[in-house]
Amino acid sequence: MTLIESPQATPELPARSLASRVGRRTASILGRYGALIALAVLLIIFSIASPYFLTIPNLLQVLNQSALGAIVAGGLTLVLASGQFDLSIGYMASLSGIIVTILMLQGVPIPVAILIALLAGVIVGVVNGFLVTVLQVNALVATLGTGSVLIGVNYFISGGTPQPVSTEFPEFLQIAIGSWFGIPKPVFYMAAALLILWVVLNKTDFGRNLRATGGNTEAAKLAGVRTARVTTAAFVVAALFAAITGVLLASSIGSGQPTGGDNYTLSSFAAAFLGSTVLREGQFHILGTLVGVVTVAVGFNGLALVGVPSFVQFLFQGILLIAAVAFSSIGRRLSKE
Amino acid sequence: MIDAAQPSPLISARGITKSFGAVRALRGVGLDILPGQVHGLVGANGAGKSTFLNMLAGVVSPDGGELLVDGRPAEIGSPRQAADLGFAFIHQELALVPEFSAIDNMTIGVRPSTFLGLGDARRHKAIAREVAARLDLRFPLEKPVRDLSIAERGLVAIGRALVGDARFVSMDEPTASLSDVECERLFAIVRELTASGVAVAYVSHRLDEIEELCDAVTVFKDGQVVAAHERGAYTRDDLVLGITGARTVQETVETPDAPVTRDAEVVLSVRGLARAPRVHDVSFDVRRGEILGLAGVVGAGRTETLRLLFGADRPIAGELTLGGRPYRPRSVADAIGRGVALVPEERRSQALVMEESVLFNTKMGGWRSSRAVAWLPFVADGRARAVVRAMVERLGIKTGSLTSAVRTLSGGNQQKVVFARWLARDVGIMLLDEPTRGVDVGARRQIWATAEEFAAAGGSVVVVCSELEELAVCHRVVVMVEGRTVGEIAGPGVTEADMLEAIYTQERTSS
Repeated sequence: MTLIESPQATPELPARSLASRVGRRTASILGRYGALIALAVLLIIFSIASPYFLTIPNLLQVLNQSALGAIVAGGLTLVLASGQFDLSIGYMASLSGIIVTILMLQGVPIPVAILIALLAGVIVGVVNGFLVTVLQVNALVATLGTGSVLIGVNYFISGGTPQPVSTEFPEFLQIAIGSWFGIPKPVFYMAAALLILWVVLNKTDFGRNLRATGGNTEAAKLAGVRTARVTTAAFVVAALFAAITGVLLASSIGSGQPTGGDNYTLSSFAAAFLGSTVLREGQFHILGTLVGVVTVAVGFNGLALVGVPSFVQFLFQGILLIAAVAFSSIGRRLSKE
Repeated sequence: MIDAAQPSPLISARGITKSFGAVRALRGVGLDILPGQVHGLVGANGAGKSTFLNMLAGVVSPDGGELLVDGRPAEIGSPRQAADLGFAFIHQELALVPEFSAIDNMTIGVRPSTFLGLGDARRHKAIAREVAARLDLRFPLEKPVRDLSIAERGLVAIGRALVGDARFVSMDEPTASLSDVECERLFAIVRELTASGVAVAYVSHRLDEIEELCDAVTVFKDGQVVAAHERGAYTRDDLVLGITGARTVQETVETPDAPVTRDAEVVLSVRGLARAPRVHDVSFDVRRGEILGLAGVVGAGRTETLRLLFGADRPIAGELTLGGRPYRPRSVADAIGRGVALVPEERRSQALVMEESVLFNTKMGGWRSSRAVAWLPFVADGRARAVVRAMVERLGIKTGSLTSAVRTLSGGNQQKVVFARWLARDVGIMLLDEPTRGVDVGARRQIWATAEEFAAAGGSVVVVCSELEELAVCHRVVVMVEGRTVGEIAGPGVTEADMLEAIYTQERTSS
């Protein structure tokens, strides 16, 4: 047998390899912390640009603006973690706002009206889950379909007109308007919702089964995870949290708006995908989603303070999302090379 | 001109280095691959063979070193460039498009003959048919490959490499999913290729194949070349020594010490089990403490039988009895509830979440049992960790920590994680589908030892393994041909010859 002598010193190109190593390190840092760095940069820029930005009332305002969006986005995060999509959440939020206000106007007691609105969320979640797991319809198509159906139902019961409740039901407005200990109430709801979702996703066997399903559905199934049930439950959570948001939205603006929650679909996806680039590479998680929501809210708030027209906010949201996800995926690829 | 006695190398690598993060995958690898030769690459998982081939394929770029093709410095920056050089690759993970037919998959890289490639469909069909004839493919080429068995998909991948008129063909574990007959066919193809001047790089864990097939052998260990041999100038021990760094001669599986008593209780009884298209009439019994082998060629319906027993598919006919009670699993979770477990054929796609941790993967599907309080859904992570740590120690799983991603483990250790999952859940019957595929020699022995231990402790094992010699470990072997159980060979120490004879005499009479 011939033993080959230990290899000669390789003709490496030190400069190139050093450069590539530094580049790789940078890429990896950008991939993991890019979204957080972006948030920090925004905070610094706006602090300089506007003296009003870094004040407690304004920061509370930012959190308040984030709150409802964060609740929807938090629910969506569970669906995304299970490897599915839900495009119907915004329409669900609109519908639940309409349901709760119409029922109240019909004389149904407020708590009952709220319960029925939330129940509607559960039903829609079950339908979405059924379409995706039993009928095996692609989630994008299925929830696009249910979303459209929700718009139809919404217009059928509301006639497409807003349902104002501010004069007759001041106690309903008390749910979302006002503050406790100087902090706007929605911020507490957001904190509670995200805490619950975080515990569910990270500390329960359901959460682990959800991650397993999202990570590799076939393997999860062959390990005994009832993946269809788990996926359906994720859809139910997403629709339920969208319904909660719809009720809070109706309370905070004092009326049910037929299209009031529609934009939550886009903003939730933006926040969750932005958040998937935070710390954990490419995984959807609650903390990341929160960072995503807050980053977008900071941007909106700061841009408004600086006096930029509002269409720029949407440009900002779109570009930030694409940039964050692109950087994260480039970073991940380079750091693995 | 090529000098017949001493052909100049087609590929010549010198001092190639490559690191992935902190892992130094190649540390100065040098070797020559000659035209018309089969060049064997051996080494444990993670020794650097696949990385080296990926470099030739333009999938990874080396950090340093020199690569010559036809004696000229070459840089292979992309798979396209590799293809332009006439290099073809059959990767360990088959890169086929599941929705495409075998014809489409094989001709995917064929350049269009006319503008827009109009009218190429017929040409593609002809090309694919020619290759299929060379490979003696016996399945419909029009079917989407997703409907083919894993072995058939492997043959499609080989077919694709043959389509391109390659000068160099690399095969990474090509026989891992093939039955013995199909292996022989593959060897004939390899010999035919080299006879026509093609260079072949051949990676395999099966050393007998290497000895039989290869003109030159290079041994990898820890990213380095530790030995190079010419045909006939080495022994099995030399290879094992190079691969493991230790002299471990014993490679054959030990046969069990004693047969299971004939009157041991029947745990699982299968009668007339059927599900088209692969399973037609399967009947056998498994006793307590027994390791039962299912022998057959690829496509005999063995994997499909295990899936039926595991509740992953629903049978259309047949009676199952488990522990004396009727057994009709409506789902996998149902089967597991009755104490049945499956170690599936493809670890990566069917058993593990590669990006998740050892802890996560071991507990996958079983988190419920780690609840802090039985009626509350919260997981007691400390308890789960303790269970998994005990399993990691018991099975000797080599991992950085419990939170390391399973992706970073070697194939053998990944497989042990799948075993750990079921052992931690206290199952009674283990169904093993190709448990030693893509696993190095050392881990292979440990996996069989684990199965034996499980049986000795009162469990039952049903195992499918295409490397028939490994089935010597079984107490009894049931032979399957074309979806039917056709015979039974009593062990211990069932030999490959016994099984092949049973399989082929049956095949002849049935066809």
